[in-house]
Amino acid sequence: MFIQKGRSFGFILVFVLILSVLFALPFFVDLFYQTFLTELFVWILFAISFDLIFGYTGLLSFGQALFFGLGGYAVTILIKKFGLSTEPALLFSIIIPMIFSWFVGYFSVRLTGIHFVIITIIFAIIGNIIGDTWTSLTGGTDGLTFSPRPFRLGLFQINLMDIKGNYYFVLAIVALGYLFLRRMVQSPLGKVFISIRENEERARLIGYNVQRYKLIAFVIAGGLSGLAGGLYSLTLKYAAGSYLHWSVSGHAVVYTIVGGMGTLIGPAIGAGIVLSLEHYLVNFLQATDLVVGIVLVVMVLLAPKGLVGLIQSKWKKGKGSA
Amino acid sequence: MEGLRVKLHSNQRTRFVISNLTVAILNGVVWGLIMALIALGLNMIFGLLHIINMAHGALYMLGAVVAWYFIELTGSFWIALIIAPLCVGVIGLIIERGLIRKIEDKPIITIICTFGVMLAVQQLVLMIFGGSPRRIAPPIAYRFPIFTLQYPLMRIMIALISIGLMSGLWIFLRKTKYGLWMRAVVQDREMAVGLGIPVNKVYMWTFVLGSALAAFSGVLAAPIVSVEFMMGREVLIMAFIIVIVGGMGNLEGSVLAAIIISLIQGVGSLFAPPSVATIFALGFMIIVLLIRPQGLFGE
Amino acid sequence: MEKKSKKKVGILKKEISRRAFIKTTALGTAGLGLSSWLTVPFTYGAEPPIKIGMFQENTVFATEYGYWMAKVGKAAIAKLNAEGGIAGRKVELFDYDTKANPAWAAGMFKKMILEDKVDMIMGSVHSGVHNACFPLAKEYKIPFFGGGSMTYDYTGKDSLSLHGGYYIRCHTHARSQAVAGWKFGFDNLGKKWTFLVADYAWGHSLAREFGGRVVAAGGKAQNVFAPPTTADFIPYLQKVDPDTEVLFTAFLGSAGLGVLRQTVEVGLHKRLQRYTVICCTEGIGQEIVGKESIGAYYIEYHPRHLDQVPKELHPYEKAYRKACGVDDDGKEVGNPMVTIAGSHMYSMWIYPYMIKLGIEQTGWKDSKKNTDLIKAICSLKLKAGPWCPIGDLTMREEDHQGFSDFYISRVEPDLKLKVLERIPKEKAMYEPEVDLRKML
Repeated sequence: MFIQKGRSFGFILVFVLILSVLFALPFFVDLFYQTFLTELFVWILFAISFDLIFGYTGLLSFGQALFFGLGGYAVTILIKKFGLSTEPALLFSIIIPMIFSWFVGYFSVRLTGIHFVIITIIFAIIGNIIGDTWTSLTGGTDGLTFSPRPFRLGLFQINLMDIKGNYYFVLAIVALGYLFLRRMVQSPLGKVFISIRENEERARLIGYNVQRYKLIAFVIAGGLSGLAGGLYSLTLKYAAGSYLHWSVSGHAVVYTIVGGMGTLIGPAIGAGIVLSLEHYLVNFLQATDLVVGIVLVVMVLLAPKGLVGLIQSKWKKGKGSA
Repeated sequence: MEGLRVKLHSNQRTRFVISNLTVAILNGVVWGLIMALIALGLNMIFGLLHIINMAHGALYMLGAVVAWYFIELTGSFWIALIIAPLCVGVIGLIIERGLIRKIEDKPIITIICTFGVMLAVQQLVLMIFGGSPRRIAPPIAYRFPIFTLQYPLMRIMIALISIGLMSGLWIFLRKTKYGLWMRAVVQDREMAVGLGIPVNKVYMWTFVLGSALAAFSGVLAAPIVSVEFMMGREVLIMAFIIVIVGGMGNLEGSVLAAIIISLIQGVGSLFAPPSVATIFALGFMIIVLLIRPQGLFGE
Repeated sequence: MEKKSKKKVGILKKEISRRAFIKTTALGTAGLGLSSWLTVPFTYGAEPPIKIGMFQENTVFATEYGYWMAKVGKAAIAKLNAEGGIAGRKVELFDYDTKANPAWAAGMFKKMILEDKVDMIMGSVHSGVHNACFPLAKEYKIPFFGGGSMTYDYTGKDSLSLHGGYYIRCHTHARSQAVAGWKFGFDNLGKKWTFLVADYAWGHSLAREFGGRVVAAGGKAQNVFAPPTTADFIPYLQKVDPDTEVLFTAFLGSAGLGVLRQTVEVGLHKRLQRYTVICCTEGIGQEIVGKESIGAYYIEYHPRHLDQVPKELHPYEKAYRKACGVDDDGKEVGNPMVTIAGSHMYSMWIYPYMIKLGIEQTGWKDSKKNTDLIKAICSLKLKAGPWCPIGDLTMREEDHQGFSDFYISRVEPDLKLKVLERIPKEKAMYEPEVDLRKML
């Protein structure tokens, strides 16, 4: 009980510290780094939502791009074609993907392992085809641009057309998303997810309706992926059919594995490392993919449990020897 | 007179539809066999060994690229058809010993690792081979007439090779000692070890065989689709889908799955926009997965 | 594993030596862009250099374009600097990859503006990239010179809402191609057309622009769409109407090769004419497209072979080709496997010159005079010359769109693209759908 309290106090301390640093950053770094970090936050949200279903529930879905893209398009189409203001549009970027993820999940969670992977990919491919060819609605591969109105919460207002405003907006929402997920994985619901990941048969034998819990995880992840997509569109003021391509799902998978699955902080770190690497390399090479590919292979061989896993095992080793 | 003219016109229309359907069905079957051949290598590695090899498309592409270089050197398509898969088989060997061996029990890591290999290989080929597509001339240029169109014999030939290869593999798996070993390893690895089967060697040679098959199909497809550094990307996902819907490790299943998908797309696009036809084909696959998750012929 | 790391070093070396003008970007990450002024050795006095950002499709897709666009862009900047720069200031080029990914490219666009602090940006042939960057060009009021995106709408009636007039396009697009080329096809090839095009914006727009004009003149137009990465065209080729006289195709990359070849494989070429735009096989040698393409008609925006270029342009064309490392047959000097994207890459040669003229005309010193600069550039009427080897180029103030001559070519038995007719730029003009003159 004491350790629990101590741990959560430690977490709060670290979290508040990191948040304050991120809050203060715009006063010290230039605009480009602010936009880079804003995009990084969005990918972090996407990655941690993926960690919920993969790291915690054991469902490998390569179809999260579908919900990411739906969230992005929900925001874009509602604002551009229907003139909605930003707040309800953002809400819909959670709701609409949740509806779709309920539909996709309802069928998909009946399957396990590689079959689950493939069926989620197929759904994503269908979404991608529609996104690329239903040009009148989605703008196809050219995409759609739009200008969102300032985000209003009571008397408080943030201008999203301004880089700094955008930065704080996305930071706040992603931080909330992270706290929400953390609360969830530590709650009894989270424990059920973990038990499903560990041993599905046993969870079923204990009496849990495994498929129902999988669906719940899938829908929550879908909603958060959609929120990430919505934030991405709001940041870039753009959405395109390519948001729905399975390679976008691949990003979440890579960040989560590199960082360490089932840890929430792992995918965030993974996203940070890979995206920073990509952006750094752009200054020297055209062939950034080559280096990223090699780095991925090396990292995954050296740290199969992800970076967080590596640190954790080193920590344990240290403790053990002491 | 008017009535006669109208009747003639509608006859022409029906003939058009019939000829279209015939060609669509023929092409659907033939193209399905070609796709099954492309999926064959993956069926070895993924279907049998359960290794998710994201670099499969890259191996397919390497087969075509290596073949291109050999054709420039020797001028013979057939020589390249033999040598390219051998070269890519060696690359597969290196990948298996250097990487897969270390992680084959961790499927998720394998995905990332092979994904990284795919990225790296594609970039390397871009830098050495260049970005614009190149062609490999088809060794057989003959076309035979069918209704108002012509149909390239090359495609029929590839389909026949596909059937031949699959039959050969079926015989190999069922009737030879090595095939028996492979099936034993897939069924129960520990038991296989206990029985004295050199499991590591089996894994290695299966991976090599799968890589060589991927390259082989790349060389055969190249005269149709052109040689390009990104040519593996489109093929990769389709190959996975065919293997799973057909039943992992099941050769007849993947042939059937490939043909059905190809037919739905081909015949479907006669009556509907191509995107809709593809979505129908994909929808069919979802239904198969839900009703028979083990695939059309899987156990 | 050793194999891989050895190669890695080799690549780095190769990359840096190629990027002679991008010395400072290597330091940029450490120095946060501030070091850019301090490390470039000036020979032009104390004035800071003019910075031009460029991004192209160097990886993933449309790389046959990106390779040449980047090469010509660098050659143009080198020539500009050798001739004294712009208004006595040296020109510095920043060069990035779009990865054919609009979201990534938008990030590079922001990087060039916010970190490298460029004064203007040019490049890319990907419509999605342009679309994604429009809000940024508008926001930061940066002149954005389109490399080669074919979407007509970008200089159409939505210009104001899309980019607010900060987009300048000197090259062709679906509408000017259709206006220039439809009549030749209608008069010489046939009145009943089928458009077998890629099922996305570019394909749709070509079918619409050409088809609309064919139908308005009393002809017939049938649309057959196929996915842009189609490998098997037989299902689509068999849908072509039996009485079609002209098959107009529009696909890029290997699909572009596939459709031309398979049209012949199924024997369609015997009963109809093939008509297409050069975009489909730009950067790909006709010998690679194959003997099957003999007899097909192309709309080119600048001839690939030197002897097909109008005689009066030869002196300029020869110098231009020499500077870009191109031989008389449109192949890269020393590397006959590589063919030029001749109908697209000229935009990268001309833009720096247009920028120079604009700056020297308006006395532009920094971003405060950006709108004057854009106005001046968009009223340029360039005459053929060493900086404009494609012939006269007229910019139109109303929509920021440029017009130059078109060429109808046919593939000869020796696989050469022979020019049959030169279409003067006036024939390619259409009514502007927007008036940006009052906006700026």
